[in-house]
Amino acid sequence: MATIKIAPVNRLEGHLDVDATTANDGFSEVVTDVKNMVVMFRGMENIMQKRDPRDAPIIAPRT
Amino acid sequence: MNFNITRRQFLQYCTASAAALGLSQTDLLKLEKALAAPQKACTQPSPSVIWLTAQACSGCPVSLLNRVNSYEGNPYYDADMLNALYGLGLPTPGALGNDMAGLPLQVVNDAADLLVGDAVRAVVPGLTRSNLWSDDMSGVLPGSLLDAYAGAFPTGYVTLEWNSTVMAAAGDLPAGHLQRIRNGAGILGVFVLVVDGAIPAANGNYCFVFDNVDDTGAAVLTGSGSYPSVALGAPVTANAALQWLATSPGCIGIVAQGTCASYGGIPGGAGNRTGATGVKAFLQSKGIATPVINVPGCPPHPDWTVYPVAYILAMSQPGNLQYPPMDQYGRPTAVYSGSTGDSVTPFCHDCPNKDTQGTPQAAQKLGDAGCLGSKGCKGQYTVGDCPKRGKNTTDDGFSMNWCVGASGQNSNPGSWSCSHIGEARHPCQGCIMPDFPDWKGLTNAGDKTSKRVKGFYNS
Repeated sequence: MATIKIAPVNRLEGHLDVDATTANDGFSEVVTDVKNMVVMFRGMENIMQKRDPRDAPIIAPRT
Repeated sequence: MNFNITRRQFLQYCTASAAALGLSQTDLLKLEKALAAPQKACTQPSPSVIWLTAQACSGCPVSLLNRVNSYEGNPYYDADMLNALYGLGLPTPGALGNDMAGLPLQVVNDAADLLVGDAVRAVVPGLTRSNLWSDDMSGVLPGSLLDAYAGAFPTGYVTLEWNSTVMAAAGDLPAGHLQRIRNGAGILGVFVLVVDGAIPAANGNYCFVFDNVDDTGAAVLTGSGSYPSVALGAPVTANAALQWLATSPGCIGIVAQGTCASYGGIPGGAGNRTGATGVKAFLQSKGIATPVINVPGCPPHPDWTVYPVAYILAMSQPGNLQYPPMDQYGRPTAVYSGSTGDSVTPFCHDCPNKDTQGTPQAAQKLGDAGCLGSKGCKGQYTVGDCPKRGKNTTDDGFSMNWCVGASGQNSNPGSWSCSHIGEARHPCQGCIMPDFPDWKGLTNAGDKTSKRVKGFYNS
C-alpha cells in the first residue's frame, strides 16, 4: 500500500492536486482511492453578490 | 525540417513590435540584440523566466501564447510533425486556403507543439532542436518523456522555466528545477519573474502552487526570513512562493501580468473574501522592494507583456538594471498613458467612433453607430492603446477585432475589419484600470476600500 501525491497537476487551467492510494491486490499495485483537490479559491460568487445583474456577464466569464 | 527562422522574419517581428511600441531605431537595435541572442544556437539557454500562477484564470498565458503562435514563419508550426505525433489530421500550411482559416489551427497546433519542444531539450542534454525536428523521432522521444520533463516552453525569445499552465511535468518533478533557477541556475544567474493572478493576502491558504518537496525528497523552500518557512512536503502558498522568488538575488524584476496581478482585478473585486491584491501591494506589505512592472489588462495584449521583459533585457547592463518608465499605477508609459495633447484620454483620442470632424456622436442604443460613452463605455477614463493595437493581432500586425470597434467603418486601416469583422461594439470595460471590476471612475481609481459598487452600466 502506498500513497502518491501529485501537486501540482499541470497543463490545465487552474490549480489541482491529486492524492492517490494504492493497494496490492495479490498481483500488482492498484489504485484504490483518489482524491482531487482544487487548491485555489477566489469566491467568484461572493464577488458577484450585491451587483447589478448586468455586470454578471462581464465578471463571470473571467473564471 | 528547419528550426531557424530567417533573419528577415525575425526582423519583421522586431520591427512590428517596435513600431507598435513606439520604439526608436536605436531601441530597436538593442531589442534585436537582446532577443536574437538565444536564436543563435539551440543549445544556448535563453533568458530565464519563471511564471508563477496565483488566483488566475489562465487567460493571461493563453493571450501570450496566441501571439507567439500566430507569428508568421513561426518555427514551431509543423503540421506534418504534429500529424505524425498525434494523428491530428491537420492541414499543412500550404493547404491552408487563407490566413484566417489557418489561424485557429496554428493556435491549437502550437499549444501542443510548445509542450513537446523544450521538454526534450531539458531532459536530453546536448540535444538541439534540429535533432528534435529531424524525421527520425524514434530515438528522441523516450517513453517517460512527460514524466521526466521539468521546465521550459520556448517562445523563441525567452525560456520559460516554470509555468503550470503549459509545462508537462507535474508533482515533485519540476520543483527541483524551479529551485535551481531561483538559486541562480538560469542564464547569467538571473531570471525575470512573471506573475499572473491576484495574491490572496487575507489568507495564503486560498492558493497553493506546489508542494515543498522535489523529486529527490528534499525540501524546495529551505530556511526562512524574507519568506515564510514551509515544512518539508507541505503545500507552498502562492504568497510564500512569491516572497521566496522575489527575494532571490537572481530576480531582476517582476512583471505583474494582467489586472489581477497588478491591482487585484476580478478576485479583488468588492465583496471578495480572500483579500486578493496585486503583487506590488503585497510585496510592499512584506517590505520587499523588488521592482514590479504592472501589465494590466483582462487579458493584456501580448505586446504589452513582451515590452517590459524585452526592455529589461535590452536596456540593462550587468550591475545596471534598467526598467521602463512607469506611470502612477506602475504601468509602462510606452504602452499605457500615452500623452495625446488634447483633453480626452488616449483611448478616446484614437477611438474611431467619431464623425469626420472628429467629434463623437452619441449612440442612442447599443448596436448603434457612434460613441458608446453614454452606454457605459469606460474609454473615457481608460488609457490603453486598444483602439490602435486592437486584439487578436495577426501575423502581419493587424488586429482582427477589439472590444469596441467601429460601426460601418474600418476601425483599423489595413486590417481584416470589414462591415462585419472588427465590430464587437461592446462598451469598453476599463479592464486595465485599478478599479476594475468595481468601476468607481477616475476620481477614486484604485480605491478598493469603498463598499460602493456602481456597476458597469450605472456609472
